[in-house]
Amino acid sequence: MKKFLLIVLSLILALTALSAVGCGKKEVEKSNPLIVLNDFENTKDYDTIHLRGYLGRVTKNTDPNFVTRGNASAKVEVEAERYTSDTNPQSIYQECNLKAKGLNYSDFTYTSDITLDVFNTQDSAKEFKLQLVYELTGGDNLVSEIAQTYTLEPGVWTTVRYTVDRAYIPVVDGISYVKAFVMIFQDAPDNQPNPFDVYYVDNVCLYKTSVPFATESRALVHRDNVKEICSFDSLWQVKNLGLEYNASVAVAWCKDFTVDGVGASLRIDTIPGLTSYADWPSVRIMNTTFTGNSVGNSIDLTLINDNDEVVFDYYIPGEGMDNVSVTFNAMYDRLCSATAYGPRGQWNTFRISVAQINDHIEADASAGNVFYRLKNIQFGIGRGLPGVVRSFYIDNVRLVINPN
Amino acid sequence: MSKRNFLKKAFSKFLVLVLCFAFSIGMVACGNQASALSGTGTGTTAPLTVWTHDGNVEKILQKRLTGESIDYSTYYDNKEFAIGVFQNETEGSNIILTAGDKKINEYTIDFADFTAGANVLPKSAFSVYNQKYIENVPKEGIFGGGWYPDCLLPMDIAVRYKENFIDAGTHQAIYITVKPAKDQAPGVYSGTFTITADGKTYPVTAKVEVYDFMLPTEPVGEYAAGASPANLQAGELDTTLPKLEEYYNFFVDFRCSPGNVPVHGSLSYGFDAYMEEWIPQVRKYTLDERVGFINFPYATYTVDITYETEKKDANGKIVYETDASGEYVLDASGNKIPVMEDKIESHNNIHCGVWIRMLRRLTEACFDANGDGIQEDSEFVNLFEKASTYFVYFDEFSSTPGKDLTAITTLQFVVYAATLVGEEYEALWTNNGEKDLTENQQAVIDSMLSIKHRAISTSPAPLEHSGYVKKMEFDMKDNTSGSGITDWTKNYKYYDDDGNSLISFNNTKATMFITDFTECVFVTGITNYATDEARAEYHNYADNCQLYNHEKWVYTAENPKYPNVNNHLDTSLWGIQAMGWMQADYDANGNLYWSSTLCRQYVTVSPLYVDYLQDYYQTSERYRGTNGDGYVAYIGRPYETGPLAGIRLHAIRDANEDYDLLYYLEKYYEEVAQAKGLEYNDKGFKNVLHTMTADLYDGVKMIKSTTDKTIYNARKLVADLLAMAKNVGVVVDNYEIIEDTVRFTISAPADVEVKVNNLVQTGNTVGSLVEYVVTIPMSSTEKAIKITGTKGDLSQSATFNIEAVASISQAGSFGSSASVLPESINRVDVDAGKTEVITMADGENQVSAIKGTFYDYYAFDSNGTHIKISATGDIAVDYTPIDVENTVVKLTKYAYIIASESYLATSLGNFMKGADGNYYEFSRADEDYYDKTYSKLNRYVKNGEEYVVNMDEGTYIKAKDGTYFEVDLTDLDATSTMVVAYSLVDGKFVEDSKGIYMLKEGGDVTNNDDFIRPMEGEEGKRYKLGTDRHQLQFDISSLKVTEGFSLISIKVYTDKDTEITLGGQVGTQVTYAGTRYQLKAGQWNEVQIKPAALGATATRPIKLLRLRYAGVEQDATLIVGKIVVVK
Repeated sequence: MKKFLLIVLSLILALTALSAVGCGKKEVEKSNPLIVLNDFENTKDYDTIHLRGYLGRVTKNTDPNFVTRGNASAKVEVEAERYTSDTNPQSIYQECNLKAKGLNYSDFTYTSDITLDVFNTQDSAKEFKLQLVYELTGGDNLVSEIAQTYTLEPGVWTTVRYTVDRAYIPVVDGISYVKAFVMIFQDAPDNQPNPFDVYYVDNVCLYKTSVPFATESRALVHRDNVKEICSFDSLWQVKNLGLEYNASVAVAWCKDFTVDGVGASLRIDTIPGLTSYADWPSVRIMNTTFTGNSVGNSIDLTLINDNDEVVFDYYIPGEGMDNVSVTFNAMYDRLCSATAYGPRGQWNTFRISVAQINDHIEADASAGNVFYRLKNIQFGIGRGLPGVVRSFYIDNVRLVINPN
Repeated sequence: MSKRNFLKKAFSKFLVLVLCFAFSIGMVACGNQASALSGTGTGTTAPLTVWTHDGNVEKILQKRLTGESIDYSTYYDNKEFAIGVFQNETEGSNIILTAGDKKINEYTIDFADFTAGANVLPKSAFSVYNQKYIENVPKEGIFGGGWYPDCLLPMDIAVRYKENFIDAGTHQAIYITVKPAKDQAPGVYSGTFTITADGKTYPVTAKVEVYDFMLPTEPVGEYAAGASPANLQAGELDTTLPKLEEYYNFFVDFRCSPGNVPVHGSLSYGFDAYMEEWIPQVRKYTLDERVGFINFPYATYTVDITYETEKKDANGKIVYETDASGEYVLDASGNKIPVMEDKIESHNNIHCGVWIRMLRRLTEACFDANGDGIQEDSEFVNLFEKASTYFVYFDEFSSTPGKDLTAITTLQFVVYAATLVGEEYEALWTNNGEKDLTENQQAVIDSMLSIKHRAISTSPAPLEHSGYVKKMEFDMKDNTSGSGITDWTKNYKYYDDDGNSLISFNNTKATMFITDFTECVFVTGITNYATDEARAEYHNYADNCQLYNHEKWVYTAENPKYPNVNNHLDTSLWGIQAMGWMQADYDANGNLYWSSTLCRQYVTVSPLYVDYLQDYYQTSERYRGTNGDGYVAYIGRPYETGPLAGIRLHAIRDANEDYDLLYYLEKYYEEVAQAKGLEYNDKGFKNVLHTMTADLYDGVKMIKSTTDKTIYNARKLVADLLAMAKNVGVVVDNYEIIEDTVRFTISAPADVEVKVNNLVQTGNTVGSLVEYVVTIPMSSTEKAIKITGTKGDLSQSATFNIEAVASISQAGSFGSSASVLPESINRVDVDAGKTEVITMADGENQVSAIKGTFYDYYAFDSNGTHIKISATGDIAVDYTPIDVENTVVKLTKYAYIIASESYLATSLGNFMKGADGNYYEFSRADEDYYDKTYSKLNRYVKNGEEYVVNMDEGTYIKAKDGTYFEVDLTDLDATSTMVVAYSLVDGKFVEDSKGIYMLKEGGDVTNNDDFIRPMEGEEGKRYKLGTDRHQLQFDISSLKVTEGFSLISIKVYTDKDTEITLGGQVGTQVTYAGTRYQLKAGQWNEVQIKPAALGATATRPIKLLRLRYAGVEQDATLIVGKIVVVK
C-alpha cells in the first residue's frame, strides 16, 4: 500500500509539474548557455520570421531527412536572382524578441554566438551571410553593414556560427536592442521552369556567456560636457556614411591615426576627376550614425543653449593652409554651412557655436532649434586637379556643452 | 462485489479525483483557467441560444475586454435568416450562437439546397464562415471595448483547426453569404440551416430573395485596395508569383483592384525582365472583366536598358535601328524619329526614357501577343484600356509644400512623353502621308493619351489657392542645343499672374494643376464631400479642369473618425457600405484605400518605425491611433490556406455592389431622358435616391436612424425600381414634395399600363414615352404608394412610403434652415405683427401664422393630422390642436412637446411663444448626434419683458439703448464674446438689424459701456453694396480667431439675389476665400467659412472680416445679423 501511495504521490507531483510546464510561460534562465530561438516546429515559430527582398517562400518541412531538431524545419525556396537587388537582398528576418511566444532575447549583453543549421540541396556550394539588426531608441531599424559570410557545401548540413563582434554594434544601447538577425541567401539561378534554390534551416540557437560585453573605452561617449555625435571609433559608424557625388569619395577606417589615440578616425579620399571642375566631394554622417541615435534622442535638445558648440577635429596632409567644408542639413534643405580653415600636416579643431549656426541658418529660420531638424552633417574637400587624390581625416564630431 | 473489489474501486475513484485535482491545480498555476462566466450576463440561461442578426449596423461583440458577457437579449427573438440579393451579387448575414453558463465544445452547421417552387438555389451558392474576434480597445465608435468580429475563417477550416467552440457566456457568429448565379430565377427561396452543438440540433429557418436584376461582374465603380507584396513577405512568407496572383484574384473577387498586376519586384530590377513578366499579366487582367483598372509602373532612376534599333523586319515587326548619331531612329521610310528617351533622362526621379520604352513595348504587344510582329490579328488587345498611374508625387501632395509643383512638372513630362510616343506610332502607321490608322491602332493611341493619372489630395483648397505660378509652358520644338534634340531640362517656364517669368524651382506653389493633362482622377478625403458647400468646392475645382475628362474619387485612411464613415474596426459596417451610396449620391466613382493587407505595425510615424507583427489576428492597431486601418484581410498561412477576408472587406464589396446597382439604375434615367428628347440631368434620379438615403446617412456621417431594416428596405426599393425599368420599361422619373403633396413623375412605354395604388393612370406623350404625373396629398391616409407597370402578363411594382419620406425630407431641411426665428426677415419691412389664419387641409385644425416669421412647411400631430403651413418660408406657429390636453405635436422626427404645455417651432435654435406667453428656444445638441436629444431648452425670456441671465447656455443683457442682446458664449471664452443685437418689438424677442456688438476684451457682459460696435459705418444704417461701398468690414481681432477655430458663421439678409465672397485680414494682408456665396433675396442666408481659408494661422488670427461682392456690384441691401465663431 505504501508503495502504491508513493506511486500516487509521484504521479501527483509529476502531473502538477507537467501541467505547469505545459503552459509554456517559463523563461529560459540566462545562465543557460544555449537558447533555442527557433526550431520551426509550430505556427508561432514561423510568426517570428519574415521575408525580405522577395526571397521566395518559406514553408514547414516535416521530412525527417532535413530536420536536425524536433520534427520539423523551415524549407526555404529562394527564387531566381532576377528579382534581387543589392540594397534589399533575399533574406529571412529572424526576430530576437519572440513576441509571438512571449519571450524576448533581444538583449545581447550576454549573447556571444548565434548558430543555426542550414542544408544546401543544390549541387554546388552556396554563399550564406548573417547580419544583425538593431532596434534603436530613435525609432529606426539599423542593419549592420557588416555581414559574416559562410559557405554552404552541397548536400550536407552546415552549422553556421555567428560570433558577435562588439565593434559592429552601435554604441548607445545597441547591445541591448538586437532586434533581429537576417539570413542572406545567395542569388538563385534563373532556371526555368523551376527558378528556385532550396535550403532547409533548423535549430537556430543563441549561446550565452556569463560575462557581459565590456563597455569599450571610448573617449567621447557622453562625458560630462561632451556628447558624441560621431567618433568613428566603431566600424558600424563608418559603414553608415553617405557618399556624395556618385561615390566620388572613398572612405577608410583608420584605427592607427586618431587625434586622441583612442578608437579610430575617418579618412576621406577624393576620386580623381577628369576635369578640374570645382566640386566638393563629401561624406555625410547620417543621423542614425550619431552615437547610434539621432541627436534628438541621445541629447536633450531643450538643454542646448547658444554657447554650446559643434566641434570636430580634422587633418589635411601636406603643407600650407587648406580648408574643409562642413554643412548641416535637414531632410531636404541645407540648414547652414561653414568652412574649417587651418594648416595642413596637423590635427586642427573646428568649433562652431549653436548661436553661429542659428545666425546663419538658410532654410526657414523660424523653425527653431536647428538640432530638431538636423538629419546629417556633411564634410567635404575641394576636388584636386585631374589625376590627383586629395585626402583628409575627420575625428570626434561632438557637441560640447558650455556654461550658459 | 467483494469488499476488496469495493475498496479497489473506491480507491480508484479517489485516485482519479486526486489526479484530476492535481492536474487542475497545475492548470490554474498556468493562468489558463476556464471561463467561469455566468450565462445570465448574456440575458439568457439557456445552454445555447441561436438567433439571427444582419450585423450591418450593430456589431455583435464576442465579449467585453474583461471577459464580461454582453446582453443582446433584445435580439434573441430574431429567429429567421433573411437575405435579399441580386443575381450574381454576394450578400451575407449572421446566425449568432450564444453560450449559456457552460462552454459549447463543438458546433457544426449543415444545410441543403434552397428551393422556391421548382427552382433551386444550390448549396454551392452559399459560403459559410466561422467568425474570428479581435481584442479591441476602441478609439471611436459606440460599441465599447471588447472582442470585435472581423476575420472570417471558412467553416471547414475552423472545424479542422478546432476553433468551433464557444466559451461560456460569449457570442459566436456564423457568417453566411450567398451568391446566386447570373441566371438564377428570381424569387424567394426557402431553406433551413441546422446547427448542431454538443449533440443537440437547432434549426434556423432561412429565406433568400433573389431580385430580378443581374449585377454584371465587371465593376463600374472603382476601388483601389492597396495590397503591397511587402505585407506578404511579412505575413505569408511567400512572395512567389502564385501567391501574388492568389491575393490579386482574392481582391478582384471583392470588386476591388489592387492596382498593380501581380508581378515581382519593380522596373528597377531590370526593364526587360520586368516587361517579360508584366506585359502578359496586363494582357491577362485587361481581359479579366473583374478588373477595373491597372496601375502602370514607373522607374525612379535609370535602369539597365538594352538600346534598341528600329526597323520593320520581313514580318512587319519593328526592329529598331539608330542612325550614326544615335539621336534618331529610322522608320520604314527612313524618316528620322528622335530618340527622345536618351535626352529626357530622369525628371523629378521619374525616368521618362523608361516610361517611353514601356509605352512602346506595350503598344507593340497590343498587336503582337504571339510574337509575329505588329500585325493586327485575332489576339489584339488594347493594353492601355485600363491604364492608370499612381505616382508617389501625387500622394497627398497638397499637404506637402513644393510637392505640387514637383508633381505637376513630373506629370507634364510623363504626359508629353506619351503624346510623343503616340505621334511616333501614328507616323509609323501613316502611309505616304495619308493617315490611315485602323480602328485598333487609333484605339491604342487614344487610350495611350488617356491614361488616368491619379492625384491624391487631402483638400482641394491648396490646389485652388496655392499661389504663384500662373502658367507653365513647354516648347518641345525649341532647339536650344542646336542638335535638333530638345533639351527638356531647360525649356519649361513658369509665369506669375502678371506674366513675369519665374525661373526658379523655389517657387513652390502652382495654381495651374493638371488642366493640361489628358485624364485625371481627383482623389480627395471623403470629408470634402461632407456638405453641399464642400462638395461644391471640390467639384468646382475638378470641373474647372474641363478641357479634359476626369474622375472624382474619395479616400479614407486613419481619418475621418466616427461618426464619419471609414473602414475602421471600431465602428459600424454600415460606415463602409454607405460609402458606395455616397459615391453615387455625390458623383464620385472611385474609392481608394491605401492598404488592405497591412501586416506590419507603424509604431511611430516620425521617425518612421515599422515593426513586424507576430500575431496577425490580435493586433488591432496597426497604424497610429486607429484600430483596423490598413487591413481588411488577414493572412491564411497559419491555416494553410489563402487570404482571409474580414467582414469589413465584405462590407467594401457590398459598397461597391450597391454603387454599381445605383449606377445601372441611373442609366435607366438617362435612357428615359433620351427617349423623351430631353437633356439629361440627375435631379430626378437624386430625388428618388434621397427617398432612400435620408435615413441612411447625413453628409458623410452615419446616423442612428439607420437600421438593418432601413438598409434592407432601401436595397429592396432599388431592386424593384431596377426590375420595373428592366422588365416593363417603367421609370419613376422624379419624386418631389411640393407644398402639401408628393408628386411622382413616371415614364413608361405606351404599351405599358401604369397604376398608382391600383388606380390606372393617364399620361401625356413625351417623346417616345408616356409621362405620368401623379400628385398625392400628404394628408392621404395611404402612406404606401405602390407604382405598378404592367405589360401584357408581366407586372412590376415599387412602393414608396411617403410618410417616411416626407418626414425625412422635413428633417433634412432643418439642417439648412438655420435662418429661422429670431433671425428672420425684419418685421419693420414686412407687415410686422400681421396675422394670417390658414385653414388646414382636413378642415379641422387651424394654424395662425405671423407673416414675417419663419416656420417649416409640414408637421403632424399625434392624431396624424397634417399641419399645413403654406405661407412661403416665413411663418411662426399659433396652432390650436383639437385636444389641447392630449395631443402631441410632432414637428420633426426628433422633437416632441406636449401641446398642453407648449408648442415649438423647429428644433434648431428656434424661438417660439409658449402657451404661457413666454418665449422658448430649443436647439439640437450636436454632440448627441446619435441620440437625437434635440429638444433641449436653451433660453427663456419671461413674459416678454424681462430677461434672464445665464440661463443654461444662453445669456441676455439689456443694452443702454433699451434693446436686448443675446450673448453667445457657446463657443467662446469669456474674453472673446460676440454679441448680437436684439430688441423687443411688440413683446417679441426679435433681432435688431442695427449691427454687431462686441464685448471689449476683459469687459463685463452686464455693463453696456463695455460693448463696442466695430462695424464700419453708422449705427442703424443699411449698408448697400455697390453704391455706398463695395465691402463691409468687421473688426474681430479681439476674438483671436486662429486656424484652431473650426468655423465662422455669418447670417446675412439681402433684398436682392447677391453673390458675395469673404475675406480676412491677417497682418496687413487680406486673403479672400475662393468660395462664392449665393445669397437669396428676401431671407436670411447663413454663410460659413473655415478661418484657415481666410489666411488665419495658429499664431496669426484674423483681424478684420470682410464681405464684398464677388461679381458685379449691385444696389443691394445687406444686413449682417449674427456672427458666430466656433472653436
